[in-house]
Amino acid sequence: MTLDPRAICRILTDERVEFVVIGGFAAVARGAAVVTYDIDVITARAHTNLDRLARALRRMDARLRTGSEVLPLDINADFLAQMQVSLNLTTEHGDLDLVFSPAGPKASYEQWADSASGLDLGDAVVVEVASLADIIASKRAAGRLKDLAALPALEALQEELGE
Amino acid sequence: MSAAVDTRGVDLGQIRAQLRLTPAQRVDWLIEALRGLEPFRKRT
Repeated sequence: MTLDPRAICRILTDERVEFVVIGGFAAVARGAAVVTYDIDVITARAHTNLDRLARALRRMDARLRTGSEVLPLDINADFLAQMQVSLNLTTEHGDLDLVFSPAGPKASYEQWADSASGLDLGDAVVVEVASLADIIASKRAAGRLKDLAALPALEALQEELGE
Repeated sequence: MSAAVDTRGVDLGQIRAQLRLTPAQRVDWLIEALRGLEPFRKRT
């Protein structure tokens, strides 16, 4: 399934989920020429929001994505409230990672939302996207090979933007 | 090496090209790139 991030974001916004796009796709939206196969989001953890999120995930037929398997999942707000680190999902619009404890100095949705800003992804889909500085800080802290490999391009982008 | 590639190996020309696009056009760019890569993708 090729990623259609716009379709995923449209369902999330339709269901009025409070979320911020983070990670590689956020970097793309900000102007990075990097390829990412999934979309990462951090969401508000209030029960009302998790209820909306669960409804959105059911709409996009989200299933659990493991290394080699895709497993059905009974998604509801109580289930999502138990998630502490992340939840890797595959949907009918591609892979979606819910990040509950992102690496780096900003651990909560509210902290990411503080410095995020709205971007129009096309087709009237407007979402909050993390700042480039926050994306870089998180990738640096995560320290995985793929995160570190993306840093030079992201830092060069930051310099081009004069940030 | 292209004059637009910096000492980190970053293609500044590509960055500048992306910055000329709107966010919506960047999304389209990614979707097209992924379609092109799909035959070569191995899920890890």
